[in-house]
Amino acid sequence: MSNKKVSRRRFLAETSAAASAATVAGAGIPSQAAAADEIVQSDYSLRAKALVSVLTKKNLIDPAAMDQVIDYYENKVGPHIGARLVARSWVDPAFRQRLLDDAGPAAAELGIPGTLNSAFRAVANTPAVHNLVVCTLCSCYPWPLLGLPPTWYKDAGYRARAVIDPRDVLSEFGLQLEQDVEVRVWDSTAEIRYIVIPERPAGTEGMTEEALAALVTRDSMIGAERAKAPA
Amino acid sequence: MNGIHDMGGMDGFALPTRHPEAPHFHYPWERLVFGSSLVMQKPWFIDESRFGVESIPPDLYLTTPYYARWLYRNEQLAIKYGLVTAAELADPDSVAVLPKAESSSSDDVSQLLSSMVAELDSAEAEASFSVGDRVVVKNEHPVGHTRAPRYARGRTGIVQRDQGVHIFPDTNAMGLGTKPQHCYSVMFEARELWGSRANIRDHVYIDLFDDYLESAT
Repeated sequence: MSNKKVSRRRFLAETSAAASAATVAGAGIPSQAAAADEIVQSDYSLRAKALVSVLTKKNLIDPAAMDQVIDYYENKVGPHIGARLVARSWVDPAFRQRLLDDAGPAAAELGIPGTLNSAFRAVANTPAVHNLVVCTLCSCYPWPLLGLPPTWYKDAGYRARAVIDPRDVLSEFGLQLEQDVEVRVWDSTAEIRYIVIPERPAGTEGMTEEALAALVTRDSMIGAERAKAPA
Repeated sequence: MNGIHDMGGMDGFALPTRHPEAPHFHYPWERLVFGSSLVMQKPWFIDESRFGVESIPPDLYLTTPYYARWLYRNEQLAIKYGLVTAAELADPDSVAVLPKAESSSSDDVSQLLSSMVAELDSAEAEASFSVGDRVVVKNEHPVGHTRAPRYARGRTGIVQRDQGVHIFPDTNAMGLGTKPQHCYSVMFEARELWGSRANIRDHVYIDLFDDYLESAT
C-alpha cells in the first residue's frame, strides 16, 4: 500500500515534468497541456490530503473547525461588507471622517467583526486623487472587510507593475485617468490593511444606503475600477 | 532576502485579467490547503509563514500556484518543527490515530483560528521619527525575512503617519523575538523610486518599520 502511494507520486512528478517539457518544446497542443495540468493538480491534491490526514490523526487539525473556517471565508465574508462601509461614508460625512481617521473602530460601529484586533486604513478617491492598493511582497488584503483577495490581486503581473506603472495598469483594467489626477499607490508591506473609498457616482442623489452599497464593487475598493453607475 | 517574492517594479510579467465573479478556490485541494493553514495547531507565526513562502526557490515560486506555495510552506515548516515527518507524509496510512479530541464549534470564527500573530513583548516603544520627517530607507540586504521592499532601499521619503507599535517581522520570523517598534506610512514621490518613467504627480506609500529608516540629512 505504502509503496504503491510513493511510486504513484513519483510517477506523477516524472510524467508531469515530461509533459511540461513536451509542451515547452513546441509540441504544445492544448490537450497535452491540459493533461499535464491535470497531473500537476493531482499531485497537489495528494500532498494536501496527506498533510491534512497526518495532522488530523495527531489532533493538530480539528476537521469540524476547518470546515467552518472554510465556509466562513468562502461564503460569509466578502466585498458586501466593505460596500456597507463605503455606502455609509457616502451618506454620513461624520462617519466618513471617522472612517478616514481610523477605519477599524469605524467598521466596528457597523458591527463588522474582526476589525478591532488589527489595523485598517481607508483612503478616499476624489476628483483630484486616485488610490490603488497592492501587496508587492505577497497578498496582504483586508479580509474582514473584503473577504479573500481575487486571483488577479495575487498575480505577479499585478504585484510587479502596480507600483511602477499604475496608470498603465489602470488603463489596461479599463480605467482612464485624467493626466492631472494624482495616483497614490499603497504597498501593504506591514500589518496595516487598506480599503479604497471610491467616489460616489453621479446621479445617485436620494438613493438608499442599501441601493448605494450595490454599486460598490470589490475591485472599486482596491482602486482597480470606479463604483458602478446607477442603472 | 532578495527573493523573487519581492517583485515590485519588475518588468515582463503580463497583467492578469480581472474576473469579477471568479471563485476563491479553483480545485478542492486549494480549499483544503487554505482551511488547514488557518486551523492547524502550530508553533510558528505569520512572519515565519511568509518567510516559508519566500524561501521557495525562485524558479519553483514562479511556476507554483498560490495555494501550492502555502502547501509547500506548510510541509516544510511542519517537518522543521517535528509535527510530521517526510516518511509520514509519504505514507499517511502508517500514522496511528490518536484518541479524538473534542471538536470545536463557534459562531465567532476567530475562536477557531490557530494563533497567527505573536504576542507583542511590549506595547511601548520609542518613536525615532515624527510625521513630516524626511527619512531614508537603509540600504540593507538581510538574508532572512524583511518587509522593506528592494525598490525602496536607499530612497528618501516623508513620514506621513505613525501607525503605532508593531512586531518587527525581521526578527520575529527568525525566532529572534518581537522587538516591538513603531511602523510608519512613508510617502515617496514616484520619481524618487522610478525616475523619469513615473508621472511627476504620483506617490507610493509604503509601511516601514523604525529599524528600516534613518534621518535624511
